[in-house]
Amino acid sequence: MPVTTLVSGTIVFTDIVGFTQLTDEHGDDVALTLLERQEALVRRSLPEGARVVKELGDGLLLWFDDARVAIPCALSLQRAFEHESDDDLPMWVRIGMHFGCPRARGDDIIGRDVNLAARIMDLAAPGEVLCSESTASEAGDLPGVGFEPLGPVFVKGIADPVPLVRAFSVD
Amino acid sequence: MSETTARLRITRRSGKVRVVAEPGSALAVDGGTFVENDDGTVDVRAGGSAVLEVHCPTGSDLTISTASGAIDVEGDAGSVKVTTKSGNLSIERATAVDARGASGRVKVGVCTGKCHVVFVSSNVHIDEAAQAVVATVSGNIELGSVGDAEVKTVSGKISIGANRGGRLAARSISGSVKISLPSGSRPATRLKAVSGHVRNECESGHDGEVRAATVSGAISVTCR
Repeated sequence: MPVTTLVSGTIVFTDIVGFTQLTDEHGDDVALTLLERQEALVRRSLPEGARVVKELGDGLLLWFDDARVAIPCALSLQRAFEHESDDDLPMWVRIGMHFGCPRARGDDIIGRDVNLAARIMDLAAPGEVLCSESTASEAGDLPGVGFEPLGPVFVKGIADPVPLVRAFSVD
Repeated sequence: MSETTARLRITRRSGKVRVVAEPGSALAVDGGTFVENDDGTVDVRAGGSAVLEVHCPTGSDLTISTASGAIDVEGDAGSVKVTTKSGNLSIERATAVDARGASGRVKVGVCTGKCHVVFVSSNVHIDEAAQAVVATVSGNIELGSVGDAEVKTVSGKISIGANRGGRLAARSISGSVKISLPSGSRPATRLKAVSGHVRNECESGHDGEVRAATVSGAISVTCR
């Protein structure tokens, strides 16, 4: 058995929407530019207690020790992506997250909660941040952040539906 | 159950869900069971029948979760929230909609408030909405008559019919964008197709705002 440890924190997935299409239309150099923009923005924005776990093609897997930090950071990232986006090269990113206890295996994280965070991301629109209700509960009240319950969602491989919440910035 | 509006949470992994919101209707469930919670919500769970049919009062708020199977909401509903993976979705009339999923056709009749639809490969058709916010990857998006709209797709076609000089924003990567405004409208426009053709038949003015951008699709704006 490989050595793993149980860790508690927030798992965040990002994904560039339309990446395959952009690559097809504009070639690999443009695709690479988009990836580099995303990663640079994310790395610049990550606070202490957060890290890029790994790159996943056109997305990233991130780890945050604290859900109270993860949610505002994800919303801030969306604003930065929107700012970075232009008509020639749209940077449409969807973000999904889940607070849980995955297993750390070296620098990587694995387990049910990681899979769940990825499925939550699948339901997000470009520019949106979706999280499980448990993430919002863990974070509690956050200044400048609102939550809209979206109802439970069935996720492949998980028996019971998982309550889903949309996080949004409040002016 | 009283005849006032209800807040229903309907959960079914697979199979058809039919909800009928009608005036004076008491809550009735065929093909499943329901439990009233202390907070006023009602949980509806499916049994083993092919169709879960729920009758509820007009204006009831619905949260419907399925993995697969068609969802039909008939009559006048309140806020309707849907998450599904696959299956056609049809909503006749609602005060607000938030619908998310992967595949299956989406059709909304009238949404008097915000209609937010996020599907991967579904064709999305909204007859009428005060505000439509729609995103797809490959599905076509057709908005019949909307006030404001914010639409994004990677490769689907976008067609927007505006019923007033609202704020319309449409962005695609390779799909075409067609926007139709009321006759005589003079909108402020910002249109850009990186490698596609742009056609704007409207005179410029301040009757709302039209922003459209595509990377390789064509853009057409008409006022008729």
